[in-house]
Amino acid sequence: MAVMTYRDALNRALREEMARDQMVVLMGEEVAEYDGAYKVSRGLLDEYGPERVLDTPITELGFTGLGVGAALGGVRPVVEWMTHNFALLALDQVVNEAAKLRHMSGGRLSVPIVFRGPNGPAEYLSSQHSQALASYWTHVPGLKVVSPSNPADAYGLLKSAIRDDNPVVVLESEMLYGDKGNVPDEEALVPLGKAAIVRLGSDISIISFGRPVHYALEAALSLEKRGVSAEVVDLRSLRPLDEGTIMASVGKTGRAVVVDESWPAASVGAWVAHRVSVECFDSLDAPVEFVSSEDVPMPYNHALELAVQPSADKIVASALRALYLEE
Amino acid sequence: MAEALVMVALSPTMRDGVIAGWNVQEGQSVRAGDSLCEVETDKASMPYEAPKAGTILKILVSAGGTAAVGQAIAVLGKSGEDWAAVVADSSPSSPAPAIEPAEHEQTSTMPSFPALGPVAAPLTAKSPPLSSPPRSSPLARKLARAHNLDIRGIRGTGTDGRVVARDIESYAENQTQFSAAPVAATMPSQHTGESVAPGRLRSDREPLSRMRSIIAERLKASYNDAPHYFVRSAVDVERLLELRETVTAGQEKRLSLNAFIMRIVAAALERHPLVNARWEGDAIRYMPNADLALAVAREHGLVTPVVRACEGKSVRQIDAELGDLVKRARDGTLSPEHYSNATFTISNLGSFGVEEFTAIINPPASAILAVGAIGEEARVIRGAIVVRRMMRITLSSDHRVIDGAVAAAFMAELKEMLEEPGRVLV
Repeated sequence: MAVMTYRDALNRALREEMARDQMVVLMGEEVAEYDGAYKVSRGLLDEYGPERVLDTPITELGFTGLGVGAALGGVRPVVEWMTHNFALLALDQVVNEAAKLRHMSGGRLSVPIVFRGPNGPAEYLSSQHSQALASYWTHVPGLKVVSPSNPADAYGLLKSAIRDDNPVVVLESEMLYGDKGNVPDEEALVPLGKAAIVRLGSDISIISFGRPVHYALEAALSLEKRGVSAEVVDLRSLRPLDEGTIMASVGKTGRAVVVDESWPAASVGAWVAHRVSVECFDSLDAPVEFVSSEDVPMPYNHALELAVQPSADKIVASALRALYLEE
Repeated sequence: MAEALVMVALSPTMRDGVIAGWNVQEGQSVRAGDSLCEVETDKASMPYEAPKAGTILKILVSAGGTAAVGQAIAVLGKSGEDWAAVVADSSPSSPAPAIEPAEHEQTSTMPSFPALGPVAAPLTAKSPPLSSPPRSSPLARKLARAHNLDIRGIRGTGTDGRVVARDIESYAENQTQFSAAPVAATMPSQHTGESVAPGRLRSDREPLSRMRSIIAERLKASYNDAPHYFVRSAVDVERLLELRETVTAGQEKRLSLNAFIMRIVAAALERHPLVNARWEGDAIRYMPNADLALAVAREHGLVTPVVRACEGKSVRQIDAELGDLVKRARDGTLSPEHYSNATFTISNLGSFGVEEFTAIINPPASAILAVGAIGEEARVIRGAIVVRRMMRITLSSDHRVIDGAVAAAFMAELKEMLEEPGRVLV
């Protein structure tokens, strides 16, 4: 077991997969010479050369399409988007091509590609560069979507994503790249479609993914001081969604708070809350609570920027409401 | 938003409750946990606490009135809110919100031995319509089904009074406590978080003495097992009192009235042996002697010393034995043969000025006579109003052993004998 950063865990996954399978290539803006905008690809150019680690022009639709085409031809590309905000330019290639071709070819084509990059707000990046766009991808059948919250999952999920024969979108977090955590020394894959109970509890289930999992854990500690035992479910995979783990948790606790750092409408969190409301109806002691970002473009002012996002305090307040313990 | 406060089931078997008295008035503001009224249930009297702060907009069931579990008894809200709409919402089937106080049947009140205190009056059979079920969470409903509870009677503590899981859980827990101690006394409010002024009455918790336990067990068993009913008579005791004066004139100590009553009861039992009997489950055993117990109050609970075979003893003899037994009772030197296996019991609260009362049968006997105070009353005798000293007696009988006609015949004979004691005693 080694302690490493989320960034280095991703780097290790790329390095191992590129070593294991020479069809694995990495492409994106500044991934080669510059070691990646967030240094996820550090050293890979030296190790695997310019044929497998490719700097692309600043044309998201172009290089994403290049990746999809390569995948159809048998390559296993990893396409790095500098952030998911920029990937909006590539929506057509992902949604209309990558996600559809297996289906439309009657299974004769497959698109074994990974799209990855940081998603969600960082700091001081204002409205256009602070968006949490998980629902853009999770909305689309034909895609798989994962969102690791810690180094071990970043490592294990990226490796599974690279080996999967379907297009997989990996939602990383700029704010987590420097976070450290234990990662197994031996190879350890995290299966797609499998949530994790990251904290056991009995009174309420806090369900989240990505960076807000840390707020959920913080909230659970705060709730513990009030005598409330909170369970924290880290979804890890948004599509396919591990409903079994979610429903077992809520079935046990009878109360749920769903946390999503995106806007509330048509979000992954809203979908999870809906599924819980349906599947756990008879087990619920309170309406499912939902903590999301405020329904506004991200303000540049830092105080407002923090205020509109989910926080441990907001999760605690929602949990207390669901427990009928609010003051 | 104004909300109806509904009668809640304060014990598992409670179907309706009597508002013993309101502690608040319409228009008064209350805090969560304030005792709004006292509710008499089938088991005990309990405070009804405000579920949340607000103003009492309307009292729907006045003191003395009966409300079925789930029925609205008052409306709580903000000052100036319309209470009528709330009532219309909560009980669509009863357009008239005011419920008149229930009529209590005179004959069915059932106080017991003084040591136990009165039990609440049974209620009329008329049950007002239940209001619609309160809001509840799916989990609460599931738990209620699992515990076989009717959710309508359970007070909700969730948003806007929603019944939630913890309400079912605490109710089920209380239910367990209730079945362990069915005559639970009024509990002090412990969950309100409000500080209460220190009371001036006793506030200690006294562990049961063995005697208290036995009294509780025996009388509970009697009250539960023996179907009690009551037959009353008003007895003219002029002659009895005159006789007592006559025979004790010039003597230092008067014969006790209880000795006279016991002797005369023994004579009545001789004529009505069906009353001098005990229930044995598969048989009724008729007892050869009138072994008469007298309930004697003491500081730590009553005892019932027995004078054996009163039918063969004189009043003076009974009085002497009684004097000894009562002294022993007060000294605590009675042994079991002094107080067990009575065939009939007499309880006399006349010295307290109690006009009339009913008593719980003292097993293994099947009947007990409750004797009230003697007082002057206007009576009509042969068309003339005369002042006579009267005494009211009430016979509690175990209907398994003694049918109503038997009890009535016994009481008629007893009344006659008490009114003409010379015929018995001379």
